Amino acid sequence: MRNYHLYFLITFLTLCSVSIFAYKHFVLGLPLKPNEKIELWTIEEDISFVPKENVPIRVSTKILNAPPGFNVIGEDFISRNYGSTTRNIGDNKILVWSKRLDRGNRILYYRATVYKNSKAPPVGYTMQAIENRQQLIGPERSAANALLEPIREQSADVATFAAATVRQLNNKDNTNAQFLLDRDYSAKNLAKTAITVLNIAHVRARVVFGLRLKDTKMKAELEPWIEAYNGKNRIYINPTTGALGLPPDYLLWWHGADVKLINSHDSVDNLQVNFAVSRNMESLLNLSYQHHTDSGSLLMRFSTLNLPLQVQQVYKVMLAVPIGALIIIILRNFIGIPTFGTFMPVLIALAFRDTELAAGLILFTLIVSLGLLVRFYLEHVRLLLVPRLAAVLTTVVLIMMMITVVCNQLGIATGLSIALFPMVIITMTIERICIVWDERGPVDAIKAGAGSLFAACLCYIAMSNDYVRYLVFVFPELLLLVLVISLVFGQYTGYRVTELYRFRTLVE
Amino acid sequence: MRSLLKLARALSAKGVMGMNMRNHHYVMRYNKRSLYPLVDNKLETKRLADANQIAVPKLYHAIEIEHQAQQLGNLLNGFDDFVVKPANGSGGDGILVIAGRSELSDGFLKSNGILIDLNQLQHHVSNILSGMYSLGGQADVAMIEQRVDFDPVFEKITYQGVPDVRVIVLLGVPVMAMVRLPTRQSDGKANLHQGAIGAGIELATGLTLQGVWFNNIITKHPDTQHAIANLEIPHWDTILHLAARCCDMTGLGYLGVDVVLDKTRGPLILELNARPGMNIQIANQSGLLQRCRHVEQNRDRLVRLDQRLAFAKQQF
Repeated sequence: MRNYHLYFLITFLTLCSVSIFAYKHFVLGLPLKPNEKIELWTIEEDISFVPKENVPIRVSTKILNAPPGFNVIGEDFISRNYGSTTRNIGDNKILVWSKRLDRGNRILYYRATVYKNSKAPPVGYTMQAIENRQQLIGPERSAANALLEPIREQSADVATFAAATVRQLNNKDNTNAQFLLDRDYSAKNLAKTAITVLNIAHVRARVVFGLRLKDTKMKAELEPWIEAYNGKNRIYINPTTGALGLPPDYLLWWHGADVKLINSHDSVDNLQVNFAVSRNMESLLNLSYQHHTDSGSLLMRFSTLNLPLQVQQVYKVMLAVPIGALIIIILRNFIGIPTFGTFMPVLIALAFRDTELAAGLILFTLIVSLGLLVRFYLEHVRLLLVPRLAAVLTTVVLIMMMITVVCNQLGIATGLSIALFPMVIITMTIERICIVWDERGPVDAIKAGAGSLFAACLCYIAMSNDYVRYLVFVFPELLLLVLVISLVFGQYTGYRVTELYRFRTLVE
Repeated sequence: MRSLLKLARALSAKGVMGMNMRNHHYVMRYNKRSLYPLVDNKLETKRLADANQIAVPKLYHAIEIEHQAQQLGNLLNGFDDFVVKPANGSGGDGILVIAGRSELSDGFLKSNGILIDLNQLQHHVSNILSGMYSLGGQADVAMIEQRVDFDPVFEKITYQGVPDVRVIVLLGVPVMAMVRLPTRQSDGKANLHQGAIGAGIELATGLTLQGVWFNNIITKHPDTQHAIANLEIPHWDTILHLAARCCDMTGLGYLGVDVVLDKTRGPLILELNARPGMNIQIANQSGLLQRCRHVEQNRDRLVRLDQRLAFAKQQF
C-alpha cells in the first residue's frame, strides 16, 4: 500500500517535471545552455520625401510579412504625426502613412527586429498571386521556346526545371538567352526574364525582393530572387547562378516584380528609400523570455525570470542547494563518507562560492584550525557550554576579520569575500570537532573533518557549475526530479561502499 | 568496481546487514519514534527498568541544575567509586568513570589511573548539563550512578574499563550477542572502532567465539595475552531473559541491550539503544540480516517469553 503511494508520487512528480521542462524548452524555446546568444538583426527602412503642397499625402511601403527562415520580434513605425495603417494585399503587407497636409523634408521610418529561425513556421501565403502570364510574341517567344526545349527533356520536376532555366539564361554563350535578356545580365533583369520564360512553360513563379543580412551596413541593397511553386512548396532560385534554395541570410521583403516597394500616389517629390542593417548579439534566454512574456504566456509570467534582478540572484543560489543535498545523499547513503552535520558541507560549499575552491579550502581550514586552538585553550579555563560557544564564535569573527584585513593589505582579493563564511556553522563545527577529538581521538576527528571538506568540494563543484545553476534557475521544475531522486534513494537498503570494506572480514 | 560488486554480493549472500537496511527496514519499521525517549534518556530507562524489576546500576544522584553541580563535593560524600554520565549521551560520549579517591589530595582517580580534582569533575558535570553531549545540544541531566564492580570472569581479558555484553533483540527474540572488551588502545572504552575487542557469543551456550580487533580476527587479548574464545559468560540465561524483557518493557521492536555483569548483583542493564551498531556482525563473523529475517518469518509463533528464548537458543 505504502509502496503504491510512493510509485504514484514518483510517477506524478516525474511527469510534472518533465512535461513542464519539455514545454518550456520545445514550445517556449528556452535554451538548455547558459549564455546562448543569438544574432538579432535590426533593419531600418527610411523613406525621405518632400510633400507636395496642397495635396493629401499618402506614402505606402511593403513591409515584412513573415519572411521564411526568420522570426520578426518587433516592428516600429516612426511616423511623426502621420497616421499609419497596415493591410495585406496578396502576399504582401503594406504600411500606409497618410496626412492631409504637410511641408518640408520628411523622413519616415519603418524598423523591424528579426532573428534567424530555420524552424520559423511557414506562413499562410499560397502563391495564388503569381506573375501574369506575359505572353511573349514573335521572335522572343520562339527564343524562349528554343531555350526551354532541351531543359524540358533533362529535368524531372519544377525545381530542377526552373533551376536549369535560370542556368541557361546565365549562360553567356546561349544566343537565345542573350536575345531574351537583351544582354542585360543584371540580377533584376535575369530574375524578371526567368519569370517570363518560366511562366510560358506554365511554371508558377514570381520575383521576390529581400536583403542579405551579412554585416552591419548603413546602406543595404535589395536583391531579387526567384520564387517558384510546385503545387506544394515554394522553391527559391538564385537568379544569377540558378542555385536552389534561399540563403540563410536572405530576408525576404516583398513579392512581385511589377509591384514597387514604395508608392507615393503622386503626393510627394524626391522620394528616396534607404535600408540600414545592424546586428546585435542578444541572449537567447532574454529573447524567448521577452517574446513569451509579451505574448502573455502564463508559465513565463510566473517564472523566476520575472523576479526583480536582486531576488533572482538569491534564487540562483538557493535553487542550487538541493543539488548539493543530492550529493550529500550519495556521499552518505551510498558511499558512507562521514561528515560533521548532515548539510554542513552544503553550507560550506555556499561559502566557497565567493572565494573559489582553493582559496575557500585554505581559508576554511585556517579559520577552523585557529578556532580549534582557541577552543582547546578555553578547555583550561572551564566555561559553561553556551558562553564557551559564544567565546569561540567571537574568536571566529575576529579571526575572519583579521584574515580579511591582512589579505587586504597584501592585496589578495579573495580574502575579502571571507565575510560570507557561515560563522555560526563554523563555530558549531569547531565544537563538534573538539568533542569528537576528546572522545574518539584525533584520527576520527580529522577523518570526519576531511570527509566534510571533501563533501563540500563536491557540492561546490556541482552547485557552482554554470550549466547546473542555469538549468535549475530557468527550469526550477527540474528540482522536482531531485525530489523524485530523493524518494527513490530513500528506499535504498543496500550496502554503503565503506561498509563493504568494513565487513569484508565476514566473507574472506 | 567489479570486485566491489562481488564483495557486495558475497556479503548479501551471507546476510550481512548494512546501515541503510537497518535504518530503513528495522529501525523505521519496528521502533516507534515516540518511544525513543525511553531509551535515549538513560534516566527514563532506569525508571522504567525499576518499575519492571529489571536490574540496573544504582542511581546515586541525578544532577539537573548548575547549583547542584556546585554542591558536588557534598553530594559525593560517602561514594568512593562512581560513574558520571549524561542522561542523553550517545555512543559512550561524556562518560567519566571514577575508580576511587586519592588519599593524598582530595582528588578522584579515573579508571585509567589519571587523577582529577573536584573542579574538573564539576566542569565535566556542567558540560553535561549544558547539553554538550546530548543530541541537538539541548539541556541535559548528569547521572551519578554505581560503578559496576565487574565480574572477575572478564578480568583476564580486559584492560581497564568495564566490559559489557551487547545483545540485539528483534521482536523480543535475542538474535545476536557479543562481549566488548576494552584494551589499552581503546583507553578503557568498550567501543569497537576505538580499539575495543569484540567477541561474538553463541546464543545457545553463552560461550565466547573468536575476538575481532580492528577488523582482524584474534585469539588472544593483545594486552593480557589470555585466550578470548570459549569463555563461558556467567548468568547467560539471565542475560538473554533480561534482554528479551527490555523489548517488552519499552515496546521497541529492534533494540540493542547493553548488559554489565556485577560481581555481587549479577547482570545489570546498562543502557538500551534504539539504533544499535552493526559491528556486532564482525564480532560474530555472521550476518545479522539472515537471523532477523528468520525471526520475522516465525514471528507468529514467537509470542511468549519462553518461546522466544527457546527459539533464540535453538536457532542462533
